Amino acid sequence: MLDASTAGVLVIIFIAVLLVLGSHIGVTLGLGGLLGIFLTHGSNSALAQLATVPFSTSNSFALAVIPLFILMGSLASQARLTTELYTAAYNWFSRMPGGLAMATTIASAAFGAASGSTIVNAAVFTRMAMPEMTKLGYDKRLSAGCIAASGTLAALIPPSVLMVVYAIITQQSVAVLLIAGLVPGILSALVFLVGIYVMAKRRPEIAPMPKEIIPTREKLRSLKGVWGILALFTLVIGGIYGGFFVPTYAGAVGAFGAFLIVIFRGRFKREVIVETFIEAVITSTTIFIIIIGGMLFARFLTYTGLVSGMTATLLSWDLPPFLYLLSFAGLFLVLGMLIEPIAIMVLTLPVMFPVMTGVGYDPIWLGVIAVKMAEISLITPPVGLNVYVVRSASPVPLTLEEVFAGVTPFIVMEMIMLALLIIFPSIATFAPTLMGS
Amino acid sequence: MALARNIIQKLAFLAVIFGGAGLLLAMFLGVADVVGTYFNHPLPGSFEVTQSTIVLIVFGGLTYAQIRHSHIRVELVYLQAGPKMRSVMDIVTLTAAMAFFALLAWQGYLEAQYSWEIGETTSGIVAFPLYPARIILTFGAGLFLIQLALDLIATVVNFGAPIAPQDQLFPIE
Repeated sequence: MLDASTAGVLVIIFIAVLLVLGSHIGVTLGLGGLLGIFLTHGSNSALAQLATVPFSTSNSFALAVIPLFILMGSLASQARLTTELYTAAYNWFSRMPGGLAMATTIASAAFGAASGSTIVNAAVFTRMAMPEMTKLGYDKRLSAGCIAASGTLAALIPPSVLMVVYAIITQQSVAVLLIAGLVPGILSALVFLVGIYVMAKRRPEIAPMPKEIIPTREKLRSLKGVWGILALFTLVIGGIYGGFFVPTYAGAVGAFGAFLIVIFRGRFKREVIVETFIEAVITSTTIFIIIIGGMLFARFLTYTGLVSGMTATLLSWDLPPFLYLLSFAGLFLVLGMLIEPIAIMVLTLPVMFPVMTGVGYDPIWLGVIAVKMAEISLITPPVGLNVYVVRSASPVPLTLEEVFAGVTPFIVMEMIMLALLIIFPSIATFAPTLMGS
Repeated sequence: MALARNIIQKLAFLAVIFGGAGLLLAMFLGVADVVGTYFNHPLPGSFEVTQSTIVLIVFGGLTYAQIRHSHIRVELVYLQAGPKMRSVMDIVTLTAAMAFFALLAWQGYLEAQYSWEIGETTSGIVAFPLYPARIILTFGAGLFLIQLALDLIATVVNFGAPIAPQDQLFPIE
């Protein structure tokens, strides 16, 4: 049997090598965890973990919210709620400086209230808004950057899969964390709007204004199209906020609501609905495999005492809390260059969470910060998942460099938002204090 | 080989359909329990059944996700590698996944058998049997294992000409 720290080093090398070789993230974390338990406690302990963890992780009522939120988002986009949101936002904002980019940001944030997936947001709005903006003569970098960045808003605005994952790993209330993301999510959208306004004012040629003036009647009429998203939002978030039901049931009610909207709008086609369900199942599977692998990895860290040991060591340095926060952020950003957000959470939180709460940070606030940083990692090179999605979904030819150049100003805005959250923590923690139980 | 692939693909499709049905059930159960609770008639067992449907979703979708190349991996190096290197990387990936899911299917089988023998149930108000979900886990992991083995054989046979679609990096709708 090896001692815990030697095993820890070996496991980290094992995981790093497998990840570089392109192994599935969940499998890699799971095997790494098993290897670590095997090295320190023998094969029986390792197999015992494998017998219990994958089953208890999937046979979980709390985690059932993930597939239901995914289903809700897919059904909402089947109901074409996105098109109507975009039309309404276009009608109201197109005559502002950078109006089309603003409309995209607003519609994307609003759709985030029905969808918990940044990938879906980025893909849907690329197909819809990219041609519109290009037709009007928008700088491709601005359009692509705006779509990629505002797609990430879905990660903060509830429902949010990432927030659920954070809550589960850190054993915090899913409901409280979902609500905590709301205000920071909306505020991030506002920061984007201000940023777009400033960019368009300074260089009007990158964001030409459409000539047509939309009559007020038309504007008002387009608002009728947004009732679907409003209804879903009120039902799901209102239900959680008011304490009427648990998040899992909010997911069920939201998915059902989106299903009804699909039927109501005459968009029910059997094959399409079957495909929507299949896609939701596949997406859920891929997420759960990462969580299962991450849980096995976390078991290794806790069982061998590595968590308590590392936490104690890190805390014994007795640095100012802000330095811990900086290194936490740095770790997230570095890992974010290589792996996707859910994996970053399961990989880092078992150690980082006790450290961060140990130096006095609020666990709910930390959740918002973690998701915010995951959002940023979705648009930073070299991996930036949302950047790839925008490029590959774009009907207009785009290079990766163009999209990365386009998101750069938005990364600056995200940093401003992060700073605001650090200076005014109540942006994140205020709303949950008003919740019903 | 082609026949085996065909059969597994059909089974995988069937499994994912079951997963979809599980998702549909979870949705209706949630709504029914919320509405029922509102009228003071909560739906007994909805909590327990919802748990089991998630096992059905996760392990039902496993193999089909592999067929669609949806499992999440780090592709930074993969995309830079030449065809031979990619085949090597695919072999490592598939072998690692096989090791994990072989162990999981084995342990899952033992747990399912034990669960069946002792008549294991949930410990809440409703005693809902747990063995069906455990059997589903074993079947899901087992089917995935076979698919991985078929993929591994195909990768070795076509060494230097990787079969994985390279541009299908992210499943978009």
